[in-house]
Amino acid sequence: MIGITSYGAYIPWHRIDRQKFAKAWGGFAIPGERAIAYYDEDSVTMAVGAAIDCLTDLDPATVDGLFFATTTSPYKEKLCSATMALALHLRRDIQTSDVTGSLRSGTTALGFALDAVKAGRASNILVAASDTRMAPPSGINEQALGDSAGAILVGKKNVIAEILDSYSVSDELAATWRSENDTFIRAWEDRMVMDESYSRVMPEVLSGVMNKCGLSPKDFAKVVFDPPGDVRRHGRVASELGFDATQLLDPAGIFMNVGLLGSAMPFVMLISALEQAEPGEKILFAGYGNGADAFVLQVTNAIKKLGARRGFSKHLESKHMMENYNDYLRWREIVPLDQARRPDRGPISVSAIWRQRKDLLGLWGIKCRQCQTPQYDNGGITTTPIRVCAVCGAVDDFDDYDFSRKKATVFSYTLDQLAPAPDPPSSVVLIDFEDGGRMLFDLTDRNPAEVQVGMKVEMTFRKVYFNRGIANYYWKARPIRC
Amino acid sequence: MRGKVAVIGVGMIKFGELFEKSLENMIQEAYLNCLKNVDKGIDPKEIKAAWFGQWSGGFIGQGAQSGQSLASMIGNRNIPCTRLENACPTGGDTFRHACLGVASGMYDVVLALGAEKMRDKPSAESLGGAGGGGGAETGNHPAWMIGQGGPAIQAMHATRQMYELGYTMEDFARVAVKNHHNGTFCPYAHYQFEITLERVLNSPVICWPLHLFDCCPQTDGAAAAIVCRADLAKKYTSKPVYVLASNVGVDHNQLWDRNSFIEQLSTVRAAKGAFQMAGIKPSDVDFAELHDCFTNTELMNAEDVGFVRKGEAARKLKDGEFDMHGSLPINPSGGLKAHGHPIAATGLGQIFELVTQLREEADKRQVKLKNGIGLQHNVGGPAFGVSAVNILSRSP
Repeated sequence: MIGITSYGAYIPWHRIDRQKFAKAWGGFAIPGERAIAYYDEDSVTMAVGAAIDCLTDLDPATVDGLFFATTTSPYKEKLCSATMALALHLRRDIQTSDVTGSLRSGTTALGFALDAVKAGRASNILVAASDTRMAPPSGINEQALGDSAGAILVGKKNVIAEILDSYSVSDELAATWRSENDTFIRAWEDRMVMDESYSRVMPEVLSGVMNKCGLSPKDFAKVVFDPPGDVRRHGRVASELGFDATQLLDPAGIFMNVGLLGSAMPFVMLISALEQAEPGEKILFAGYGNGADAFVLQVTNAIKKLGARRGFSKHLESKHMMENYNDYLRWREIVPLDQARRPDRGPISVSAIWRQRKDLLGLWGIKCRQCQTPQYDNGGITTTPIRVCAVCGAVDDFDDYDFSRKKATVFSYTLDQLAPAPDPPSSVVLIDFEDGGRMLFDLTDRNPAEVQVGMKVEMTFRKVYFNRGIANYYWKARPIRC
Repeated sequence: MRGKVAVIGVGMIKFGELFEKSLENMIQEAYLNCLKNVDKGIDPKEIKAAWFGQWSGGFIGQGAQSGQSLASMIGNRNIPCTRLENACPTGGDTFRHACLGVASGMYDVVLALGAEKMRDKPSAESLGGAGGGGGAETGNHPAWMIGQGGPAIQAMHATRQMYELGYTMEDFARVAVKNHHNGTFCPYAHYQFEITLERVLNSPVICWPLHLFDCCPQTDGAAAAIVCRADLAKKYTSKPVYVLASNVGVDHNQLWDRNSFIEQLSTVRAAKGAFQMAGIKPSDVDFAELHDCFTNTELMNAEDVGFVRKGEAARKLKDGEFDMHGSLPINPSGGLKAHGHPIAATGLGQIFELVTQLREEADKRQVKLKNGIGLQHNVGGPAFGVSAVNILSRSP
């Protein structure tokens, strides 16, 4: 049996009431709120967040491949999944690939994963879809879009939803696009796109996969497919195919609370459906974008044994409403701002971050076998392999030690009002990890007024800064989210 | 060390924002003042070696980098000359190396000079560019985010002092009020004006819990000392000041490796070693120049050096014991807080203050001497893991 063996989601902590957009620009506000990636988040960090959630209680060493699906890769040339593999503690002898360029890159990557497992090239493939799409300021799409990520593990053991079959359609149309030089998405007229593409392609792919399997709408407990810009069109497609409202995973909830999530939308919707699913149920699942991919899933008894994770619902509840729209402009660097009077950062040393990739991206430290002290660095800043224990002086007697999944407690802190932080004050914490080890980190996703000695925190993978075309990823602490 | 080395002359310039002076101008002025200070006179050619303290090298815009730059500026290229950098204790450690040069028997008379041009760049850049906080020193390493510089690091100590010792922002602010008061009597001090407790507490928060007036300024300056064999001292001066001890203590290089944040083991080690070397107790010291880069640091230093027990400094300060005429005057010069902190010049400026006080030439800020012993202290580095302590005395 081949299918989905685990899932995980990530929704940024920060949300904005869409009224804030209308207040800034005038005009109409879509009801509800949307998720906004923090200044230190991008598609890669959110995908890592979802993948960590997906790997809850699972051994990362069992993963044979990682596919990163996005339309908003921070790089045109450079593999993001290779960065993510280190953050996720995956093996080196795995397949990593970025699947980009289409809103259905998530479902496309899911198909690739299915093929790889079917063909015996891999036993477990992790697929993470993540997007932080930007629309031009003041337009309706700026309100409609949202930032999120979803991750799905495809494998053969402990399958929670068997993938019975799949079907794809390819369709040429510039519905939404970004050229090499565009920061913001462009879109053709909604009605033409929906009439001539979405409203034709989605029924075509859904009918196609049902015909292929000899199934009809009544065989499905849920039908899960992503909506177009005009969310109402989604329901119309479903009813025209003969699905009734109870079968439909209504995207309106996600749209109203998080937004239209680009390539992550079908995954986040599917995860939301799997959180409710019962053994034996069939799910019809599809993703749209220059064509569509559709899958027939059958939920198994194993879904009841899947351990607790944050998934969609817990991430949805854990949120912080932004006070103003300006912060969004600042975090996404949409408007040029007065520069802090600080020296320019020098260029990132590629050799230094390569040499220390395991401790920087994976947050690996060591534990001394003699004095049992976990330590992250050793005199210098993070230089594994460490030869001499900083505490007892033991030589070459260590085990690798994973700090990234450890919780910690704030030992001391400061709120720095002068540091050029995109969301001042810069919150700096010294934290004591459970089971030992102390380290200095930025504190993110925090309310400065709530920072105090003794606060419980966890680690999160973030973009520290971007310099001369290199995104420098590292870990930060954040108050335990939920 | 004790009995082997004496200071025969000290010289400095008025610290401040010396936009009109280059590094070379400052160095030459401090050097010439130092020669003049040797009251029985000295032929510059008698100086047989020199140590040049400079923390920031070329990377914040000042030109001097290695030993030969000092040799050229003092017009003496026939002697060995070494540049020394050891974080904020650079000045104190430069003095120590001069003393070691004499104590070793290698040289009879040597020069220690420290100078720093902090203000050739905007203040945020001169510290940010060279110190912690994502500057050049840290190679843009992501483990050091921008902003994690000196104020943030000391603020995290202050947070623990509040949490563990019950210290308050008022306790910290009293250090600033005292040191500004002392600075008004010192013609060399960067700041020579009084401040009130209210002004400190109403100033903007820089790094919580530290306010603007809890932080020392960024200052240009230069200071120098000439040391010689103790048995030769009277040939040069009628008021030699003797070196009882000169020590450096270290601790972890990284902040997060340290256990306690209400004490700095670098200071504890430097002071303990120095007192042993000198054969005296903390209570034998008449006054001290302690490294008050931030107000909370002075309280910690008074405890770590061993003058008072941990947790007592705030009360002793409140009771006036650290005032200029208290039982143990701390920072009669105004300290880093008011006198300024031109890194490598700071320690030698404190040596200047010790010598001036011990010769009873400190005029309006003269402290009362009982044993005729003064102590100089610096602490710094990315984890405040290096400290220098020098103990000087009127008698050998």
